[in-house]
Amino acid sequence: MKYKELFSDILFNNRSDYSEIRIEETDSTRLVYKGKELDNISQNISFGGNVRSAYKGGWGFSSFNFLSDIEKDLNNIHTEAFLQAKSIGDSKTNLAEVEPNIDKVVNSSGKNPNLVTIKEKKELLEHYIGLIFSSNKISSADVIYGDMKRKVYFGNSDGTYIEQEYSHVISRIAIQTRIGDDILESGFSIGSLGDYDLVENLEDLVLEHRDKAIGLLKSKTLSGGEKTVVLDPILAGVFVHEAFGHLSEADNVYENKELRDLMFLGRKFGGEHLNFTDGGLINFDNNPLRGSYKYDDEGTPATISPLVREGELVGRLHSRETAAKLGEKPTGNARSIGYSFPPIVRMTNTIIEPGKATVEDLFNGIKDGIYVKNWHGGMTQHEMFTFTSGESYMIRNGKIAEAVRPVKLSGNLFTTLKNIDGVANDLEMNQGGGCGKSGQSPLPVSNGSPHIRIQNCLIS
Amino acid sequence: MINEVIDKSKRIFDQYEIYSITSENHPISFESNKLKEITKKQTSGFAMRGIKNNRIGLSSTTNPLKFDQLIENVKNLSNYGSKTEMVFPSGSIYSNIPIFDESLSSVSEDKIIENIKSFIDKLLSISSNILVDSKIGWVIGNTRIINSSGFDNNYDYSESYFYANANLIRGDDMLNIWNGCSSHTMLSEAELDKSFFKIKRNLEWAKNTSRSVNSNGELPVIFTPEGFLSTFLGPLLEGFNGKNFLNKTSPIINLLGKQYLDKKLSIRDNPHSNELTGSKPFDDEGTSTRIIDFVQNGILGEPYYDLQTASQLSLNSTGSGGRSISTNLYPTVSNIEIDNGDENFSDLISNVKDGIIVDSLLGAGQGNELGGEFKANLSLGYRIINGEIVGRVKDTMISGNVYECLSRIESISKDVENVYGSAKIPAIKCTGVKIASSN
Repeated sequence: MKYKELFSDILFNNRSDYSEIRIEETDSTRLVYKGKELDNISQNISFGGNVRSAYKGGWGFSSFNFLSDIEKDLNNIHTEAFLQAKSIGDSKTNLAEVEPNIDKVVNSSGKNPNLVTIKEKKELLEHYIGLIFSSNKISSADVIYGDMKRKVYFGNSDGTYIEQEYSHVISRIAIQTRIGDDILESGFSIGSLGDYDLVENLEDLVLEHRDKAIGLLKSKTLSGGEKTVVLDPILAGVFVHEAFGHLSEADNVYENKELRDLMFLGRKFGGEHLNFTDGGLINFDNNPLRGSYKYDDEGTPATISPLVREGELVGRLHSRETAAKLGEKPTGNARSIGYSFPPIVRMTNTIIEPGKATVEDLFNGIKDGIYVKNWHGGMTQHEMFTFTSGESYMIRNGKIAEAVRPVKLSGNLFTTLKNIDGVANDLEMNQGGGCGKSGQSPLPVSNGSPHIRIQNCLIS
Repeated sequence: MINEVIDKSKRIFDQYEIYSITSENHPISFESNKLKEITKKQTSGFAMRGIKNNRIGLSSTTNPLKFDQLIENVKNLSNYGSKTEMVFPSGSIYSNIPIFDESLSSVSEDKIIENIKSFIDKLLSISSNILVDSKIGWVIGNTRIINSSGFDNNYDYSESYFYANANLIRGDDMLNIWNGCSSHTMLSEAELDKSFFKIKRNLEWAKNTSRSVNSNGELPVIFTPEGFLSTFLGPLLEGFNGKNFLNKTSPIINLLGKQYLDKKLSIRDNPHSNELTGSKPFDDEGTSTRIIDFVQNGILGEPYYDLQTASQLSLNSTGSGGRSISTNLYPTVSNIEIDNGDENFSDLISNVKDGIIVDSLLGAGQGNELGGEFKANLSLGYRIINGEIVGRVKDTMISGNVYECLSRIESISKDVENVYGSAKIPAIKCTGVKIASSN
């Protein structure tokens, strides 16, 4: 174990209430095509780390990406972080207990992207580009591929030392058509915990979105208003992440009494068919997901956390500090996007648990509604949320009808959760997204859901 | 160390470029009205581009011990990289813009902390239930570019920044007001006061909630400078981005030189501003920066380009090459300036019978930005009835096309405000903006 002795020498002999050291090595590759042409291709090697220290409730944090004399430099940086904390600490450091762990973990699965040459990656993308431009109705496209290997060495003053390796593969393909000034787009984003297989054999999906982009040329724009809406698993997953997930991050509530009063455990948000869960240990089809890991960035073991059960708020996501202050158990949700940021409370894999209805049940009886699919983005600010569909279709008399321009859904969490009146039984995961919070973006997460139905949903 | 890299690169590449940065950032965070964390972030890194047989390779590292691997990566990637005709600039005359303030190398942490404490106290005296999260900090850095055309220049820069988010909860109703500022010199108390008054004004406007707009139709909308930035700037800058001219995806590709927007509107990128923080003498690939007129009296001007994009269209770079250590070059803007009009802000409001003020949007930029569309939830929006602000509107969406909307400007305010240190923008009133509200 590379830094075990060194970290413990520095950490065990100090006056802070708590200290941790992190060192990270990352290697990443990225290929970007704009239209038919390669826009850029790059490889980045990054090295860096940080020391975080707590004293009487105050925090100090110092990050670096060069060490000339590792032992001497780390000692100095640790002293600096401690003095920063000491200069503001005036109460008590409060961290939930976590058993010390010593471990070495590889969080990845499948075909290793590092064993595939740049040439092969390039040929694969150019093959997809050939398919995209096989129709002359396509005006442009964005094709992006990226992979990253990240190795983290972490130790804290409680005696934890963990070496954890992550690997991620992502791809986004967006296909554009154009009428006059009007640009229309259909696309998809996918991701995996380091499995290159994911980006192979995408021919059918590429052709499907090419045809959808062409189909949009004939589609109409809907006027805004309230509608009955059926969400596909991808968009419903984005919904649970945006609308609910962020509010269950305990760093929002632990110092905010008013919000705590509003998000009290036991509050009823909706019907018995509402069951939400988050956790770094959640698997799908026996495989880990893009938000999966064994330990979070404070060294706390990942868990599976029920957030809502039968419509009632039953839990929230924690760091060690938020858990201690609220007297709840740490959930292993303290994550940082990289060494230059301290860990904060984040989601991992967030899902709406499947219900009893069939997908047909949800469509039945809708005279005039909208079926929204796929994902183009989402944002939230406390109880307000908004997210954009990648595809939208009219629903007439219970049947999916013509495509319309993709709509944006907005709403208020409290009313919208009450307005969910159907949850189907077909759970699917979306691993193509990244999450942003407090300047840390994109953090690998996944979300998932079955089809759900929302009454009186505001669209525009 | 750099000299060794240069010697090796000369032997391998037809052209090469080394971009290196160092910076030290000192953010101080307040959480829920309390001082929470003092931090320091040291950053350094090297990015390298090599061109061989007209193909570009790009790689970066933050680890100077891995220079050999860096060169090896660039060499390998240049076999597969994008084709190019570009020539790295040899340097010319640069504007001398004051972007470095030496006093930021010896900042008194205590004084800054006191200033933020009194900022928070002032907000608490308006309402004791307010919770403020805030960040204040300062950065000092250096950027250096060396290339095979003989360019070797660097500049020092400094910046101080501040933002605060005030959160107020009443029952199930939550109010979040964000404001901030930045400057090349140390932020003065007067600048913090401006942010304070912006938050205070929003708190007053939001005192009452005017829930429903009762219409799914069109209303006149006043965009505050912050509201203008939040609604229009993203789609506009996509439209003028040279990449979208190259790829023929910009909706204004055939409209340059034409009167397409309202005559009252003039927008430019000004990298030589003394006041805003995006200023620099040369861009991130060594091209000297210059003012770019996007819109002059409603007539569309020119797009902004980096070297590669410009060379693909047989044009010159506009000095708009931007990058971070680990990203490729892309066209970017520095400081946006919009010309003022001739009305008082209060008159903009008092002339409205039934309308909306937009101060910030939630989820702007998720729709078809490239096509010029905006579509978002009002994060901070207010209702005007008979010339009076009657309260905050929630659960309301605004949508439209940027170009259409900006061709129907009714009036522009006399005052231009410094928005977050990155733009100077007046308030703008547009007619016939689509509003949808839930009942």
